[in-house]
Amino acid sequence: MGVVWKITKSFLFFLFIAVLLVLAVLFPRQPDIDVQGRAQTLEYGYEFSWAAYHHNISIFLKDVKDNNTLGMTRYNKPAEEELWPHLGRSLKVIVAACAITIIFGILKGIFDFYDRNNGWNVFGKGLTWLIQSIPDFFLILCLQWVIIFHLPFIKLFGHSHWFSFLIAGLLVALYPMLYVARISSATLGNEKGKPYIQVARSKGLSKEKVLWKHMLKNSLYPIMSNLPAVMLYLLSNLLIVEWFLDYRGAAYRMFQALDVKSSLSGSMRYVNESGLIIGFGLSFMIIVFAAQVLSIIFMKKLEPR
Amino acid sequence: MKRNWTLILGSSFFILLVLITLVGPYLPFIDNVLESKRIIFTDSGVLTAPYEPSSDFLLGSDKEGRDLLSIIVVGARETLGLILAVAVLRYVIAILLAVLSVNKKGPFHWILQGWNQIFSALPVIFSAIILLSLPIIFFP
Repeated sequence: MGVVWKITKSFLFFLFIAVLLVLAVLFPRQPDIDVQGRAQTLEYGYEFSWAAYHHNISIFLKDVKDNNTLGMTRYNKPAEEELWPHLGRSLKVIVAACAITIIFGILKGIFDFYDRNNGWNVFGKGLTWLIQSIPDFFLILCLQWVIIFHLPFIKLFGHSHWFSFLIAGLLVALYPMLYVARISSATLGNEKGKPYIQVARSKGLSKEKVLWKHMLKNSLYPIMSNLPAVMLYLLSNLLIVEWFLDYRGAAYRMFQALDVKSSLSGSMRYVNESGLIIGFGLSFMIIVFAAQVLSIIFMKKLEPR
Repeated sequence: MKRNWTLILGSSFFILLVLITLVGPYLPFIDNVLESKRIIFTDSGVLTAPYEPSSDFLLGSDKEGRDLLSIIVVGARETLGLILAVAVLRYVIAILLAVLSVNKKGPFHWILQGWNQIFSALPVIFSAIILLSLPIIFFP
């Protein structure tokens, strides 16, 4: 019953974090604005009040319970009307990126594993190392530059083309893929000298067969145990990619709703979209939770015996 | 012994960067103040920023008329300082927590586990924005 207990524990923990998230987002942010002296200088101040906090929370709960909505957005729509389309666009990217990460990451890992005695092979470890030593946003900016000025027939921006999600997915998956490649080539390297491989080889199985049937299966275990971390990596990349490509997905809209600039400066133009932020935050948490559950189940199945 | 070319290449890049940030500000063509001049009057007319690369502006200028090379050199120092601070802080806190929770119980072990799990439920960039935009942080 280890699996059920692990999943329940993880679920309870996520529930706890969800409550923390709601409490943090609903924290009262209204600055007190005062005028000072004869020149009537504006002075911003802030004083925490339990009454305001209580007011925010009770309005949110009332909205959820009675009106079945998370609140209104800056475009005067119920939050759900914006939540689902944005989330749908992002889910396409996430699924594509996940598939690319796992499949090509493992393939690249196998390639790097075979290639590692070669030293300076351009497409093997050298390339993995080179790309990983450049910050991801910088690489994406450079790619953008190349495509805009030299390959203008590639429609890079927006979400309206059928292939837009693939471009975003590729860019999102680039770094997590290399992470998976590194893990899998390292674990394959660990498996290499083990006795069961030597037995299998001595019984006349070909190198390829040993790799695909035995070594890969044992290497899947560490890869799957890293699945939640990979998913987090994907989601953090999602924001940068959506922002750069003007792809109106969940991360883009959440960043817009957070409105860092005016919320930090206590600006009058700050629009309270806490319902939307909570909605997106919970959706991202559900995605990470799903990855964790998948990882727990896979780990149980693949457990080395 | 096999030469570790990646290490050599990486360290030479790093040393170059550190040299530029240390020596750069004293070079004659670096403008430490980042003075902005949007308009330059010449014999033949008026030039407006952004300027093209020339002997005055080795890499050109931005639209405020600040020299791009100077911006890079002056900015690199601050960025490197920030990165250094992050790296040092990270190691100090991590090693401290690890040493204090070495017997796998007590409040520090709890902090270590909880910290890791809290920040792996939501992408850090979002939790950081939400936490940093709490008014108690910027109105002390």
